[in-house]
Amino acid sequence: MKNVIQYTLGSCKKCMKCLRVCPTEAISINHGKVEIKNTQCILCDACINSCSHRGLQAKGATLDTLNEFDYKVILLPTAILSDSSSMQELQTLISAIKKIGFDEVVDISDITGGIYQFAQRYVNESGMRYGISSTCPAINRLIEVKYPMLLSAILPFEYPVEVAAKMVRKRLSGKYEKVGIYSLCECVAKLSLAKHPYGNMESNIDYAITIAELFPLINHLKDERKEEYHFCKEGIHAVVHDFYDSGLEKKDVLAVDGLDKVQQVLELAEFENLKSIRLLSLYACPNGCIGGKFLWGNPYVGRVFIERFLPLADKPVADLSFNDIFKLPESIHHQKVDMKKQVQHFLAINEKLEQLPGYDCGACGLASCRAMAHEIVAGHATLDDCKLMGKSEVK
Amino acid sequence: MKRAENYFKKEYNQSMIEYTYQVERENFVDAGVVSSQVKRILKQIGIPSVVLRNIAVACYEAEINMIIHSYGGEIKLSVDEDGNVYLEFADVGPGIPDVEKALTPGWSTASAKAREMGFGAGMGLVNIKRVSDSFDLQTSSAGTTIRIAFRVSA
Repeated sequence: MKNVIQYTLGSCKKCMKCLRVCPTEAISINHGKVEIKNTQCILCDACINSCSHRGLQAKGATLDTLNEFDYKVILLPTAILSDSSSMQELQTLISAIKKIGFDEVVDISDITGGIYQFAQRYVNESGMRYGISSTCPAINRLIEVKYPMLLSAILPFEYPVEVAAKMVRKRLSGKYEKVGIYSLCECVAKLSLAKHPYGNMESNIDYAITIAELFPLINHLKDERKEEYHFCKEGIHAVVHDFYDSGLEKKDVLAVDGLDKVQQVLELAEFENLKSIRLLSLYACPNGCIGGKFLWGNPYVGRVFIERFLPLADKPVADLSFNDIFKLPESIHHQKVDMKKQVQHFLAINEKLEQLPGYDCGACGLASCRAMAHEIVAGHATLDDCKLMGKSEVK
Repeated sequence: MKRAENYFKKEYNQSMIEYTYQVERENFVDAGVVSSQVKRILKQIGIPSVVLRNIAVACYEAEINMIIHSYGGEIKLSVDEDGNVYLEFADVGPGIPDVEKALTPGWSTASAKAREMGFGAGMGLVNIKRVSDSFDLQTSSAGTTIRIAFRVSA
């Protein structure tokens, strides 16, 4: 898969902000250019938000792809409800989206809600000590990169939008020659769940497109016309972090929003110190999915707005079977590691690290002195590349 | 109980990496800080997740035990050249009066204060023993020393 977050400036101002905010040290600055390591990037939006010069971006597909298909479906995330202050406003919004050129606008909150209900049941029936909800791609990648011990706690479920796409594809198969499925994305991480533009070829979704991309067009097409829209209460519970336990029978659930807080909880989970908590629902964005970067509203106002839709929700949860949503869990790789080498490598890095100032200033373009020591041991840098060494105040 | 020293010398190699940490009596605010550092170092070395999970749990339980029950002490982390991990928890008293009881699931002498903080379920020692590859406990009124080891190399 291609990098979702792209660097767009000709030359970086080297403010180092992105380097510091990245939770996985995926970023380095090399010859005045920001480089993002694909394997380390978890697709949160921390670096994009940190860049004072707007040099980092994540873009979805564009609309000129619409003419590739005979029948076009757009899947709307539940979180989009948080952008409308009333049912009327929502209905004009839906009408405008349809006018862009989609034959069908599909709400996926019933599927999100169905998976949400499965989560608690699965934890109880499978006998897992606790489970981690699997609906935030950024969280799943964070666990993979930084907390691999917890991989087996992630519930083995598909993403709601993938399940929705699979069902739409099945329903329309044979009826049209070329069905185009678009996923409207509220956040950066979700852009990775589509064939295009980032090359996740196993996906049932053709194109991932951002709400921000559609926004100007929607504004232009908005008029007094309305389109009926139905959505599911449980889907709303699932995407707002402090609504999460409201639809669940057992209150042994912990919902956490924001990467800093999530990481505190994952640290505890690694010590198996979650006490009686059986289900963790973790969101990278503030307030849950309604904090997604591409929504135009603020997540706190959005929470007020989306709450207004709870009593208006009249769509039942989707009737899903376990097979509809099951995904083979990521197993902990039994890495064949040469421990002797690993220990030697660690000692070599520590030796170099002791010679470095330890300020983690980032001036060399790497996120930490440890990262620098790593590069030195690998032969890609020397102690001279440190910008602080030799300064009299330093050591 | 089998002498730990002999066991360790016979089975394992000399340690290459060593870290020592102090633990203060009833310092609940810092509970888990040492374990977090141990975990971070072992991740940096690249100890496989399957083993690291057990080490993290054992270290955390033992650290909390020290804070709740002992007068303070030291935690020593060692890794030998093959990547095998050893942890030593040595406190300065008051010792465990009845080791057999302490190794019984559910048995706890934790103070009311500790229980309020959510500790003291009485699974500490039991868990530590369960997850480690080798377990040794020496105790007297002068202090308790627990030594555990984890086999990482094949």
